[in-house]
Amino acid sequence: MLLKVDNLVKSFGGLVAIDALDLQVNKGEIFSIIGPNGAGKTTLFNVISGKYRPSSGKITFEGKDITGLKPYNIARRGIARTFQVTAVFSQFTVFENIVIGHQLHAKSGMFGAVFGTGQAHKDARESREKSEKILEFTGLTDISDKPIANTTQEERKRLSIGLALATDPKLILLDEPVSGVNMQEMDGIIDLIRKIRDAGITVCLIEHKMRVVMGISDRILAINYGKKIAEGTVKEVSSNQQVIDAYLGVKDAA
Amino acid sequence: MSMLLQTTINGIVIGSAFSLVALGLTMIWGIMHISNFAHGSFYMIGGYVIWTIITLLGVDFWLAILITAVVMAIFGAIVERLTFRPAEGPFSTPLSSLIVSIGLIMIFNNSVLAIWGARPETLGAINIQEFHFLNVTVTLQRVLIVVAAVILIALLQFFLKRTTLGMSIEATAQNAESARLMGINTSRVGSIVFAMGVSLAAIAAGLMAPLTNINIGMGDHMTTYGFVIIILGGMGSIPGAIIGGFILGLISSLSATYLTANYYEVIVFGVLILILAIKPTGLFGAK
Amino acid sequence: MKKLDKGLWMTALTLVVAITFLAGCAPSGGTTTSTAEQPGVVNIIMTVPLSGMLASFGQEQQEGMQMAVDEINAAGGVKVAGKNYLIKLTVMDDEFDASKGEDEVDMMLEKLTPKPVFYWCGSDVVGKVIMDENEKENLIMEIVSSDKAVVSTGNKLLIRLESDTRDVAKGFANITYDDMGCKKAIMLCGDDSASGLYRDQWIETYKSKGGQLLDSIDVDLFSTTDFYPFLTKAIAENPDVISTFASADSLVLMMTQAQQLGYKGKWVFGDVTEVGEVLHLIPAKAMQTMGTFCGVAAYETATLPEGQQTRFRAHIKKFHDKYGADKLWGSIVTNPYELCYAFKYAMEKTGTTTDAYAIRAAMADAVPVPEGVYPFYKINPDGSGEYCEFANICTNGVMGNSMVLYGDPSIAPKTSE
Repeated sequence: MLLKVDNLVKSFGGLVAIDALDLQVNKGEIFSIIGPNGAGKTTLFNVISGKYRPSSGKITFEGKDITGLKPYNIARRGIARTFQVTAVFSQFTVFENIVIGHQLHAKSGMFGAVFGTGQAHKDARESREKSEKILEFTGLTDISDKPIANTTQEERKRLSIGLALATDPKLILLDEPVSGVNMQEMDGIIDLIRKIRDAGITVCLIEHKMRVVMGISDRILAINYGKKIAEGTVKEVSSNQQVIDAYLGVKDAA
Repeated sequence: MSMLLQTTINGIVIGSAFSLVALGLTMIWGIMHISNFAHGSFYMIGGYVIWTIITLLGVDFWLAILITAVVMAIFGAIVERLTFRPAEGPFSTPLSSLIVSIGLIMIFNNSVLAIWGARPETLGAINIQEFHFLNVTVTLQRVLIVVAAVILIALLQFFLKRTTLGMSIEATAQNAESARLMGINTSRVGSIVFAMGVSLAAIAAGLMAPLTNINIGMGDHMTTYGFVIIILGGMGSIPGAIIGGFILGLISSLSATYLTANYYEVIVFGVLILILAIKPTGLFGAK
Repeated sequence: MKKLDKGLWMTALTLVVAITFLAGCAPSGGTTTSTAEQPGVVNIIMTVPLSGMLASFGQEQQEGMQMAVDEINAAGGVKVAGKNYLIKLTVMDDEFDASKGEDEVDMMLEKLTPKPVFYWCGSDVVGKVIMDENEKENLIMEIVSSDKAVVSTGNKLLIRLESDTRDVAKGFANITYDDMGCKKAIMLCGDDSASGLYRDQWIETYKSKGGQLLDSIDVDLFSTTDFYPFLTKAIAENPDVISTFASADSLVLMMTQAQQLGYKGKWVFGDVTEVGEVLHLIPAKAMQTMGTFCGVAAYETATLPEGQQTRFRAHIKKFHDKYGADKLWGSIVTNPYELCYAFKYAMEKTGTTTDAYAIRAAMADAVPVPEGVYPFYKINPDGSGEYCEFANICTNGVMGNSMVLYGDPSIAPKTSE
């Protein structure tokens, strides 16, 4: 078990966004979180990645308590994430984004970082090599010198995944990785997500598109109003009546 | 012709100081979104610190600049930690940092008055060797101001583009949230940037100190001009601050010589309004 | 929520520190406590700027007054109708702000017992507000103002002690044209209102004598970042003389930099700068080539009637021993010093410490006081004080004879020794 969430509560004033939620993500799987809009999915990611402090409950990563740690600290422990709205460094090229992501993550100490000592130079060379690998992995090699302003939505989606991968994560949290891309591009990203899992990185994903979720997930968690309504394999969850009522029903209506 | 040349050189000298001051201001804004209206007060304190180091310890001018830079960086980091940082938070507004700045100005001005007294201080003759060519006069100190500023600007560029810490700063400026996800401690980046900004202002004050006197009012103009420069160059833009600084230096010098010193500020703000009318985000502002 | 509280706390703390600091910066000048014989108390109150740009101006006034108070108390205080009274001085920082100063005066009048009868007001922005009230409050009031009009209101308790900037400007313009022989001038002065008053009068007098004004340049000489730009302009116009109104520190920098830029003409300073101060600040080597300049005569070096020189030096030594050798000494210091003695003698003569009208009337007779030094010799019936200032011309570091700049030295006090 890689990530374990126990009895997690997050409330904003009187509004309870996550209500006594338990979940666990196993090493090497693709774990999807589904639920209607406002069910608390993104809030859950924000709590896990340290953007919000939980009101109560406990988060354990690789057996260590990470509850309430700062985002940069959680990132350093190996949890990376992407956003619904892609967040990349907008004034760099595609390649520079990845290099920076990797280099900032590689710790070469404050002194080396400021004064560019030998170790830091070695790190820089390693970063470039590693970044080229990531670009190849995410299928961005051809556009590596493109400024961000000239990239397509799909390229940015891939880049934000690449940026997350640049931090050498053990667990990657993907927030709607295929929103805003066309059907053909969607298949490409689905393949990329599988490739990530096959490379040994655990994937945790929020997604609305059921075709994607049902197609790639190893296990699924369904939540509504911040509460768990089902957790299990694709088959178990898709046949759960509560899930059908709360989520699939909504989808049909939409 | 020689007057035009002399005036241009005068402008470049002042522009060097303006650039250094504006660089710090724009970095602090870009990274932390703080409008540091106390920036001129840090400039002033830098002037008093270098005066104290030279007069009391009797050290060499350049060593004194170095000590001042370090002392003021530490001072800046402490001030940021004790005042601006606690004022930040989920419910802070742009007004929070404004209020903190105003408080700091009051504290700084009165502390300086209590420590150094009300009378201006002067450093006396430093690097006053003169060079004359084409009917133009330049003293060694003036040459060194420009050289030092250019070296500092180049070092800063190298630092931001080529070192990991520098890249953390750039990354935080572009997208703080992503930077945090890359494992960057953005509040520490903030402290470092604030310390650097204060240090740059203090270095500028130190470089200019032999040319002018050190007094409580010396920073007032610097805050105003600093903001004019970074608005003109584009808020948060580093090239904008550098170019803007030299533009303002030249405007101030040219208008003082060819038009009238009396309406110098009218001209400065006129140019600012003109540039903003053509390009509302400033010369180097994004989008 | 916790974070917010912390933020608010720190902000509040910052403000509290700031306010405490400001409050702490207004020194109180009280020096005396009652002795075994229970002498009485006479309160003198004072509001002067002690912070901001004018702080040094306020400090010097405070030092002059404090020096007199300490001397009088050390000698047993004021003897009125067989009883001894010690003087208690309370000084507050008016921050050059009329409403702040008014509040402070109201507070002191209310809180201090016995009620103060003598008030030294160090800035005319505050003074012009209090002037309407002081007669009602039975309060003798000295106002430091370069505006002659303040004594035209018929206020019976008012004294104005400040040379009129315009008189000084006239004096300097005359010296520039007659004694220095400069026919083409540039006026280079500050952009504040006091400088403006000086500038306009200087230009008017200079032109009326036949002098040619090449240019008039206003700059914030106090906080300017570099003097080169406007010096470049001024020198390009090739003047005989540059007339300024600036403090010695700025002046020396300007003179040095103008010399670098090739200026060979003369300089005239306003009355904010003493020639001695400038001499002190210019390195000895540079002095040989500094050319000719003219400013207010340092009293130490002024050529004065017999006996005066010794008295000056003794007085200045006393002042420097008390406040430090680098402290500035001049009429800003001596005026409150001498007026405090005049107040003492007036109380002793009239036999009252409370009747402000009687004391005020007697103060005019008490001047010049025996402890006094040269400048302040007369209080006119309208309340304006007369004192004298001199100017010196200095050429390449050699000081010439003193000339009368302002006032009438022929009615100088007869010395008592």
